[in-house]
Amino acid sequence: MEKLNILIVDDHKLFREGLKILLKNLEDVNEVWEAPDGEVFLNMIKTCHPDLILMDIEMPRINGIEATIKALEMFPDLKILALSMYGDEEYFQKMVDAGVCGFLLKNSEFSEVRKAITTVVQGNNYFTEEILYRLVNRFKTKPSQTEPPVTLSDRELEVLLLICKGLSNQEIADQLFISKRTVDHHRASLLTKTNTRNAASLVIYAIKHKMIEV
Amino acid sequence: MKAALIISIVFQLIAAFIAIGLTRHTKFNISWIFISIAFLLIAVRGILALIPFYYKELQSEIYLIYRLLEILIAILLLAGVVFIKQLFKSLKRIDDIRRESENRVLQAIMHTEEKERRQLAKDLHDGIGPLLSNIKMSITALDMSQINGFNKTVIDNISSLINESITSLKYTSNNLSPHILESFGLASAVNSFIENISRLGRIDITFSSNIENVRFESQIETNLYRIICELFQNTVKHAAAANVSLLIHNHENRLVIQYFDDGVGFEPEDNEKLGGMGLSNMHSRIKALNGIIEFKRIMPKGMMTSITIKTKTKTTVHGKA
Repeated sequence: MEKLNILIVDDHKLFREGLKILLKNLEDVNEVWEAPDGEVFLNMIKTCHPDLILMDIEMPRINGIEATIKALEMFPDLKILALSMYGDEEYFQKMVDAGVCGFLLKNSEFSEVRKAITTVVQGNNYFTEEILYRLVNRFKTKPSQTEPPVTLSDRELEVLLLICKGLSNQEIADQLFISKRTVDHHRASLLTKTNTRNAASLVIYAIKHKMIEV
Repeated sequence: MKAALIISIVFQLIAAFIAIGLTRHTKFNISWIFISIAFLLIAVRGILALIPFYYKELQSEIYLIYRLLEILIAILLLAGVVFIKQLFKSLKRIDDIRRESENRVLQAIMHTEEKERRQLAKDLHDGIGPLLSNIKMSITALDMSQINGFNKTVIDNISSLINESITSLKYTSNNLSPHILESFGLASAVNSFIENISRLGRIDITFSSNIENVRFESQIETNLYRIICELFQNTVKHAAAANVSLLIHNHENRLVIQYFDDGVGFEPEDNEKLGGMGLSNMHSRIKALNGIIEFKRIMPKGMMTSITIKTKTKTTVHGKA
């Protein structure tokens, strides 16, 4: 695998620099760039092409949510991983809706940061367990105010479960002994049926409707 | 007879001068001027009544003037009484102004306090929080296979200290001012608070509201949030309740909050016992919002608190994040 170029978008200078030291020490990391806010970040991605972006949420001028939306409009293939102090459902939901591939809390251990980076770079989603746990709890106590879940076939449910576990389409295909094309088809049908935009929203949908357990 | 008349004249004159002396204090209120003149004329009338004792020949003229004076006094007193309504009105106005300015001072104090709390919470959370997080990441990035013995013990200790610091920083900052209230509003903040309380697992909480996407003025959101937290804390600390139900309903600019618990309850009038329950604090918060708060005992057991305030909806858009 080629070495990664990572861009950290965060308004806290010391945090950025500290994280940069840690990331640069990793074998599979090439360059680590920094942007102090969403505005600088949006200008930077026009010239540099990071393999992964670590995005803070609360920032001056353009915040992480807006920056993610605008960046993905310009470059839909960008891989953005939210890295936030806040683990509340509201922030999580907004970042997922904006199109991030994962959500990580700043107070994570470094091994988790590495794991999240690897997972997202490989094209999968990564959500920190703390948030998933909180989401499940939230929807457990909340009286069901959402519309009943759509009916899914057994195969679709299996695929959904594996998507939630963060597996790629190829890995799902291998595990279920079906072709990758079939998995692609199931994934597309899941997104249409549940009216969700991406795998991350699909995971939230599954949690909200108690279709999976974390 | 003459002596009695003279004594009454002396008293009438004293009353008249006192009344005239008070005119200035009533800010020359018209009704008081009429009443003072009437008092003076009553004294004059007394003096007139004294004249026939010395000049019998003037009796018939004096009698006429006496009657005329009586009519005049009656008219003045009537006018005085009619105008005294205004005096009461202005007293009420002064009272209203005093109450309003008290309320404004109260609001200003609360506003300043909240602003300071918010700033402090933000400084802690956004300033020191990322530093602690970075220390944690750095410590956990160390290659522990290279470290053993005493050094390993020290590093493990540092790790647990950092974890503890992160937890208490979050707790403190959230207690000072929950960022989620400012960014996402009352319903989200209450939800998050309930989530934390539910973790204790002692109370079953039902929360329903129709303000999920509604934002109110920051003063309303903050005060209501604080009251709701106080209600929950009272239930947890004092009520030994198993169930709590909270309802927040906003309809046509009226926000109604109803909070029930099935605990031991308390007598809302029993002020001595309720010192520690922050009821007076809740009252002043609601006073600052011009609202009403009521505590009622419900049978067979439990308490109901209901709050009603008038609101102006700010926006229906969520969050600034």
